[in-house]
Amino acid sequence: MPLHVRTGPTLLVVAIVAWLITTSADVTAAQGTNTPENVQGVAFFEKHIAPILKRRCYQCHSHDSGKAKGGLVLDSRHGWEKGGSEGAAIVPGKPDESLLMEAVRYQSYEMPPDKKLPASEIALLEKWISMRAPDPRKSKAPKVDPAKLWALQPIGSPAVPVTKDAKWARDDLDAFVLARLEAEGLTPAADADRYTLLRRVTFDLTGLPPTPEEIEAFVNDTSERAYENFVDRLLDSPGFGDHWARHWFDLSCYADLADIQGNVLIRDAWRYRDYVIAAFNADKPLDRFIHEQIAGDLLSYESDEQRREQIIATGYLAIGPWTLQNYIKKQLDADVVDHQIDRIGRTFLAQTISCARCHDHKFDPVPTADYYALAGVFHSTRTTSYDGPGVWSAITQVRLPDLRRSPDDQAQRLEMLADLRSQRQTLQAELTSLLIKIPGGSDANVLTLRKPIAANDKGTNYELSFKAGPSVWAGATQRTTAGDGLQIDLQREDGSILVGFRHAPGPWSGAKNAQRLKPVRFNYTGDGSGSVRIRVTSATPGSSKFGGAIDDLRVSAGSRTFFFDDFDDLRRGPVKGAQADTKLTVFAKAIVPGWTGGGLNHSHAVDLGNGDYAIQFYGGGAKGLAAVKPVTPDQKEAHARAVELDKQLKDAAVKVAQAEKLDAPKHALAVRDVDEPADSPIYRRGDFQNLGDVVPRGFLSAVSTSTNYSVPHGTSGRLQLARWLTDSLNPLTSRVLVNRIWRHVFGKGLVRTVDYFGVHGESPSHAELLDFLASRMRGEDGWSLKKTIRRMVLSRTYQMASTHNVKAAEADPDNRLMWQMPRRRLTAESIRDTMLATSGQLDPSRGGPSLGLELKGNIRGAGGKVNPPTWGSKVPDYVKNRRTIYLPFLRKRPEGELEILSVFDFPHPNDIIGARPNTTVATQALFLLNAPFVKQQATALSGRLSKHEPEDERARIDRLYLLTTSRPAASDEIETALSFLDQCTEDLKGNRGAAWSQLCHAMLGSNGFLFRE
Amino acid sequence: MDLFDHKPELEKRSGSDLPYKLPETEATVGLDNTKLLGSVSGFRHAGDCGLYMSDLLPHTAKHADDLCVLRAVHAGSPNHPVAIRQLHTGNLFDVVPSMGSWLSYGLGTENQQLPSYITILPQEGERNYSSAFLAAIHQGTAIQSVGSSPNKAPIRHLTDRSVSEDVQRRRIDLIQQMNRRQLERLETDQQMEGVIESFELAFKMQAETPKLVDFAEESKETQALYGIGEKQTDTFGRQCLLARRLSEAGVRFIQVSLGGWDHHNKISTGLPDRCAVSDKPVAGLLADLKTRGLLDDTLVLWGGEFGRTPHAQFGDGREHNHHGFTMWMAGGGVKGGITHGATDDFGYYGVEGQVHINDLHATMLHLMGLDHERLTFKHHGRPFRLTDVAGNVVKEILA
Repeated sequence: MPLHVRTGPTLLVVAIVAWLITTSADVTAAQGTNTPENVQGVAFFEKHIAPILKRRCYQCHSHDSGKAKGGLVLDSRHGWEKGGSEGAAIVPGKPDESLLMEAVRYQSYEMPPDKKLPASEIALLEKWISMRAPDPRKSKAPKVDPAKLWALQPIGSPAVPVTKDAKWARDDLDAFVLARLEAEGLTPAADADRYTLLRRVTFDLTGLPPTPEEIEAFVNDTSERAYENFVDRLLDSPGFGDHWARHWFDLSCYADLADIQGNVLIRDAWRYRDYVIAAFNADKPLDRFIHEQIAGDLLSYESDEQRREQIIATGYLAIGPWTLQNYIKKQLDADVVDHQIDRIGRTFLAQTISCARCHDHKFDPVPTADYYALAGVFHSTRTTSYDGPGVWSAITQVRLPDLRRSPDDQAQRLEMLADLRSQRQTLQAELTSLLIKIPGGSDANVLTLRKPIAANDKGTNYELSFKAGPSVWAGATQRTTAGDGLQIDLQREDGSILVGFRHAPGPWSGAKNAQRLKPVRFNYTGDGSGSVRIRVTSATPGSSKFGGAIDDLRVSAGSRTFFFDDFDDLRRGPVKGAQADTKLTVFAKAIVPGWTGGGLNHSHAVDLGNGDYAIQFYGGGAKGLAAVKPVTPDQKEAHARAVELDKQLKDAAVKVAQAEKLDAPKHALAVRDVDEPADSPIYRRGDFQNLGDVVPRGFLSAVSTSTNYSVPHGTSGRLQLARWLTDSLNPLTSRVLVNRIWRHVFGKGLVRTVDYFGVHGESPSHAELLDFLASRMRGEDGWSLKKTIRRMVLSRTYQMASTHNVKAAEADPDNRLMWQMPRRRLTAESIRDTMLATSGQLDPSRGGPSLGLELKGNIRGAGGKVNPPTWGSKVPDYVKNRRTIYLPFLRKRPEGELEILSVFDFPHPNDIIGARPNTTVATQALFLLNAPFVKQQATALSGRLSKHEPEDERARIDRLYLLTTSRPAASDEIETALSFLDQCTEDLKGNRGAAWSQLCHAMLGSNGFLFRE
Repeated sequence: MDLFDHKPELEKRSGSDLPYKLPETEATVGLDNTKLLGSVSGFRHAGDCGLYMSDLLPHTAKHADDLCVLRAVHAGSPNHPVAIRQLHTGNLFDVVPSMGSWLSYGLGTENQQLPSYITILPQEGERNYSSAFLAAIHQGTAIQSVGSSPNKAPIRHLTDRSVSEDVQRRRIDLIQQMNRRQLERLETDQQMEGVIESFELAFKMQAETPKLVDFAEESKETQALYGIGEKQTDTFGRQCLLARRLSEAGVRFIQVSLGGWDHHNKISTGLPDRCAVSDKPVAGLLADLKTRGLLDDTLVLWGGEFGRTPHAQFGDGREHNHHGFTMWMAGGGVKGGITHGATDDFGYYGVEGQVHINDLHATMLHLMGLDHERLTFKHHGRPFRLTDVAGNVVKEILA
């Protein structure tokens, strides 16, 4: 991968920020008693030792230099006690056991590296260590006093401020906002107009625009509660969960596939996705939501449904950016744990705990010991496992408890399944008959009996029996697979089918079941329509596999046999080979007396030895009906019918697969406790091979809670972690969550660094308001997301217009005081979903698997021993036009069908990101102008409009504006659009329809469409 | 040990049992009863410096005196996606900016019509050329086609071939007209103004980019130098020539990618093939840069995310080796005709002059005039760097 870099003559000056935070020198007397000995020792240190260390060592081993080579700093007592990667640098009282002495004596290390210290200084160091190394210097690692970090202080219950304007506020939150504005001499913006407000709230709550009908109804609804009622309808609509769950996935790294390469198959991620959406729609209290996701498997339950749901919820921990093929499994485990800690730290606590993986946090009060206290919890939790062979690990799958069904339900389902299977068989038989009629329709092997047999008396029961098994030709690629089988039809003289049987002998598994044929029996009742012919063929034409082999075919009724053939009088054909795995001889172009052969190489047979033959049935190549050219009218008719049948058959196959799946055992990607939960040692400098002290499991020491959550023996501690997070005194979780909600409703957080409330994060713009909201949410509102959002969107603050205000903009250019509602571009998924909704293409169906694994070729590499199967990337039609959240997400930046998301700042699934960037770049313009997706939506939109308003172009333009910008068109806009249409029609040689597509395309690229005020 | 790091001991003991233990922490596949595997091809001396290198790279050999061969590079992971990410971003796991984005951030752009970071036919995912938390303008732009066929635009969605240019322009004008009307009503809105500008730039890119990938103004001799027109070297030759054109046009960071080096088996035919595909274009690029006087201030780096093991996998292949492998640099302020560092007798572990990927990045930034410890960006409450908390400039190789 060669690369090359061009350097130019210019350099930009770059902001320079020192990596380590330094504090001013802080040399005070050692802690403890000021004994004379102690005072003397300190004096010795100050006089002799401190200058040596400063002059000779600090350059590479101090916070001031920003260097800690070998992990060692020598600017504090703590520094040498802790030592570097080799452990403590000094053993007080024992110079000869101290690494520092070894190094300055040039015995192991050679320090300082450029020149050995003078002997006098070495002697001083030796003496100092003999004196038990008195050292009064405190750690330079800045210790943050938790009492000083705002986010760690208890959440207050601030009184609602009294404002000069007593009428403006609708909700208490408004009073906090207004009080600040008044204090700065600013006034809030006027109320937004109804069109703007409706567009705003519909997007914020559901991610979609209001429909023209909703707009009309709302604008004309003069009742006092019109807005409130509308908000309640939005909160109750399923679109709420579809939209808000996506905010959650920005923080929880959801993807439908695994591994950082992106497309390793995991089948059950969707259950977790649907769980989150359902939880939001049901307004599951957020504390409960947290408990279930972190420790759902450990919670009590009242029903199997509840237990299933709670297990599925732990997908939160199981789904993540794991490097499953990491060769180094201990490293993989450590990385998984690190990510889990990081995710929980950022999402609920807005802390970068992960920094403490290698060292005490440089500025926040998170020591390494806290990190490994949490790491113990997650090392005691099974997320991935490695069984070999190969190098791949797998995400833990937990079998879900079966749901008990009433016997009636069960019988009904079985009946339905039987019906579906029989439908499929009928279709299959009919299709096979047609395919044989069309030249080139199929090269599947077919064996048809020359002379009909009289086994069709009305009302008589007949038995069709034979022996069958999976089969294969010389090349193993054509072996029978689970989906293949044989089709045996009894045809009437006129070619119609009296009855068809399908038998799937199961997959060929090499020599294990090689050509072992098992007896099969079917029954049918005659209808008296005359004698019948037997026809045998592969049940899956186009499969390129053998459907199976057959022998000893018999039709009988009671003791009377109507037909029997053991195929042993077969005349061998000229083409022969050695069967894969068994090396039995196989023949093509064989003649089977009494039968007409057909298809590839006529008839296939396998020599079972001792003059015993069985006939094989090849399914034929997958040419597809589209490639077939019918000639005669009969053939054409057959072809048309075959095409139709083919489609029906595929639908039936999908239905059967779905019905069969209903009864299959269900699994979820979920975590569980390991067999022997245990505390974790500290990994020095994050290295799993360099273990330090074992730390009891626990949580952040700087966060105070109402009770001490100790981890009971034999459990991981996840349950305690969950409870600790939502403890009534935990100052972080509720503040962090309510700030996130505020951010989604109002455009930015009260603390704009929504994922980081640490020392270098931002302070809240309205600290009291944040506390007020946090305590109201977890108190009065019982952790209800919907109640919290409802109060926010019903507030006066939310209903302000986005009007510019010169004075306010000067005083507060970032609008931190909320003097207007900010204008925002729609999110990436809203842009996509809205384009589909506007063009009328949006598929409203929801939930369930989205990978389309039933589609041919969508599971790649199954059966491989070394690598896990991957996904074939075919997005099924029944998912394609759904809302974005239901589309399959690879663990990489969305592309293909979902490219639009990446263009508009949608996060990478491995990102934990509470506030997406909001970029404006030329690639977005190129996408809006030229991408096929936008063009298709524009064309569909234009078609939809012309159907709705076929005559009146002005009305059509008005509707276009309603659909795309949620307001009617102004008269000058109508004129502009009309003149564009005229000019464009001319360019397009009079094609008015094409000109309309261009107009729609332009609208979908305009800011009126892309933004909401 | 196949291209730049000759190991006589390995040759001598090829086919014998391993003299070292495999790392116990690494799961293995295809290494049962593995044996040492000697070089795929012969070695010979090249240039005045006498660099002992493989005869599979005869064209590159002509530039031996310009090469600075790093023989003991090491990376943090033997897994492709992780190591590739580390090579590009310095980081194994987190979503952080690519080195090209850092360079764009540090040096700015020399050409307002073009992105400052371009990657030509990238082989791996977007995260390797992403600007992550740096501004989107520092994002690598992918060139997705260098072929002579006009059917595939060089940059995604560059044009709309379904309608004439007149109609396209008319459509853009309407969008701009609507956007300006709205802006007038709003008085001011930075982002909306930005959108209007972005549409103008998009229109300029539609006009300018196709000219860059059109080689009509390049002489036949120049094209031949890169192997353009020869079946084996045509595509990669085009990539390399485009790289030179972009470099001339002032693009700060250009990456050219070629896949297919993952020889877990059949390395004896696979490696010669990759060498034949890439040798002439790479040598052509060096020669062309030199002739035009560009090599002095252009740093060329050649290498992959890791090397291969001295022992065989599946009998006739080699497994990944991130412990010690070779890359080379040329031009841009490095000493030519030297080697730096060494691996053990078999080419498995670095034993001296080891260069970690972080060191490599520190050195590259240094050569670009940037201090890797001071090129920082504050994110999530702390300053981030390309080299995070590590990295030392390899001073020995600086000219």
